[in-house]
Amino acid sequence: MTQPHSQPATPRSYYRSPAQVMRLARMGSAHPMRLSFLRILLRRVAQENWRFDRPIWQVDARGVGRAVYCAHGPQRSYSLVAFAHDLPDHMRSDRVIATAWDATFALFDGVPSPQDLDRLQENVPLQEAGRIGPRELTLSRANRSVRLFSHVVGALAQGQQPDLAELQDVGYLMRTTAVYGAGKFGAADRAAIAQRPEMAAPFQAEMLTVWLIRWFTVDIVNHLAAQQGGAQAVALAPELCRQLGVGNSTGLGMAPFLVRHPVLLNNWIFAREEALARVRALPIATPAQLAGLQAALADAQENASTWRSSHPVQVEKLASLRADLTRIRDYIETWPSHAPQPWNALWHWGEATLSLEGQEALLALMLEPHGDLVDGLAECLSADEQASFRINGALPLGQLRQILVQHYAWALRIDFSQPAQMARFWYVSEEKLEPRLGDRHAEPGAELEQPLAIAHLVQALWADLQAQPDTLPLASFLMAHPQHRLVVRRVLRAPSHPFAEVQDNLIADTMLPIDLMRCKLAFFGASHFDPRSDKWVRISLFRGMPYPTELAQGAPA
Amino acid sequence: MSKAALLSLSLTEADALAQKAARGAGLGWGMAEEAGYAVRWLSAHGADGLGALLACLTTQRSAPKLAQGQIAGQGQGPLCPLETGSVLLDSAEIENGPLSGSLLLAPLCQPLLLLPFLAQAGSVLGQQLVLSYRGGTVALPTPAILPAVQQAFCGPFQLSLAGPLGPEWPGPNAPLPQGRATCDGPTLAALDALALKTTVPATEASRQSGAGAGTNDND
Repeated sequence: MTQPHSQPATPRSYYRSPAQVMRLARMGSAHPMRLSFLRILLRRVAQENWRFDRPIWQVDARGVGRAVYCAHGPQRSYSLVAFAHDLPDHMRSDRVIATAWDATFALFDGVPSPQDLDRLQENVPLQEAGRIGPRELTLSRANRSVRLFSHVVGALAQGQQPDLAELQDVGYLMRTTAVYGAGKFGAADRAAIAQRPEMAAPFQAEMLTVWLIRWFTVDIVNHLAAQQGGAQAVALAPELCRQLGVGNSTGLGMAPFLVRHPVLLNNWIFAREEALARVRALPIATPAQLAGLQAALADAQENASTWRSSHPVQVEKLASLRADLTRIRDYIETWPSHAPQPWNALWHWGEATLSLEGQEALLALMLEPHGDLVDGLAECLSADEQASFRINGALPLGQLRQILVQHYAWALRIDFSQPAQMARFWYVSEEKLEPRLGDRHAEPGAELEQPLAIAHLVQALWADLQAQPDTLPLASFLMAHPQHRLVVRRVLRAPSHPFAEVQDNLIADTMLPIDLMRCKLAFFGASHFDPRSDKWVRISLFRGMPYPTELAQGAPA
Repeated sequence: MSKAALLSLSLTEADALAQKAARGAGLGWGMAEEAGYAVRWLSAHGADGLGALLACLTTQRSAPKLAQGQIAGQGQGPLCPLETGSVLLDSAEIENGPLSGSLLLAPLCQPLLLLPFLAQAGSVLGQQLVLSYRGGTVALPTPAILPAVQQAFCGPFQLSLAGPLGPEWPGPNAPLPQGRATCDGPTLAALDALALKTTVPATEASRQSGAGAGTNDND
């Protein structure tokens, strides 16, 4: 990975520091941008002229059956295999513990044979209770938005288009409640596809899955409307389809991901920060770039106006965001002036004027008109975690201490003798096998705490290092103190991965798991982040973006 | 065990299961990560890594003790291959460390699990490592064939450096071979049972406060 320090093209003063960037409050204000994973997918598919078809649609009058959607790239094809079910309302649950869904999906590597389809039919509808294999890249399921789904089917069946306001209010016909990839439940390992150009960026198989699911959600309402309305039924109008994304419900299970994958987190943030620095360092703003910025701002304002949430934290953030977008609009009316580095001036103005929500939105806006400068960084987003897995035990403890002082001062400052700083613990629940957050002072199970409280682990390491000589090799220390092995591995990665750590106490009483989720989901490209509590959120993916069939007709990505 | 009864896991699954089982069996989190790596490496090379790990975790093992030219156990039972492998790999770059010359190893529990660490140590050093045992030798980091888990693959073990790796060596960060982990049903069930020991039973309170609890999804 390239470090900011070794990039002579962009002076260091244009970069934000890890101490500024890696705070939960700021990560929890992240916005989707050009380097978000679904944008990377859409750019590639458009540039390479991928073809799409739906070779199989075997769905009955009740909406039960199966369908196959194929995406054909220059070298390989991928197919979404969809199973549509008839789910009684009382069985519909977004929680990961559910056992039945309105639709279930797998992304198949290639085009499936009838035998493949039969095998998948036996397993995919069972989700976690079934098994998929090395030909499958993802496993997923979705539930209907009952209100919007029936409204849309009902209107179309009567030959009318659904109500736009209602459609915008929900924003999706179905929401996924999990999209599993990377070897889970028997699927192909990430390593098996990571070398393919179209799968090299993170979560491309998952993004392709969701994008094809979006197509399916429109097909299934059209199908059901035609079944109900017969000759008078109409299809959902393309401009209304555009307003619909795929919803997603995500709970605590996603929150620890960024902590468990420090190298990946570093690379994501590094690429984004590198992109921002490159833009800030530009000497001028061209008229085309200014027009691009204005267009992106208009889109952001449109997005913010249809963004709904009833969570108090998000309601406040939304108000700040809308006000900040208006401030940005006013400011760029007279921008760029003749000041040198106009983008940097815009950025400094934003940092001094806007809320965190507004600042991170400004970042996304500033990247938008600079595809030529930014898009290549998509190649820096993935990570070979194995490459930095080994512990070099020859390191003298004095040097380990130096790394701690230099990169973990934030962790060493936290006062864990305060009960509030130790308030929570992360654990895996026996019942759901999912990550959960417990109250250390009130609930049992803290002895089974997951190693996610990095700052606390760092302090324990620091304490045990105190009595040790500077020259002692790390290997000898770890033989005597094997309990520090996990955190030592992290600490050794810090010098070459400055953005690897969330620089906050992940077990404090004030910690909001939704901040971690927002950061990850923004990198996915999620819009309309809508927390339903501190612990789970709904989002929308691909809302406002083209459909596979439209992209093939030349719609801009 | 017939072929049909074997289950196929992705390497990612095998690694994750190994980590949880090792932790459930009482290893530290960092050592559990090493167990995950070892199982992934063995499975990628076609060996029964999960079976070896289960046998290891359910046997009383000794922690390694370094002495001049040898590694002995401290305590009852054969050497723990995960701890021994970790010590050797951690020490690979230490001048005059345990891998700087020939090394005698006390009997190991499930010696297969040592090989992934030796493979990495060999690539760090740019040297071929040869492990001699009663029934033969195995050369790392790229073993021609892995010893089958049976009587012949047992101590005393002699580990020695056998010269620099040739130009055909793809380098220390070459990806593992792509493969699948296979495992029989009882082994999987036993590892799952160990993994479950890392989890916390639900209480009424935790059910009430779980993500999404008490909300209606029919909207």
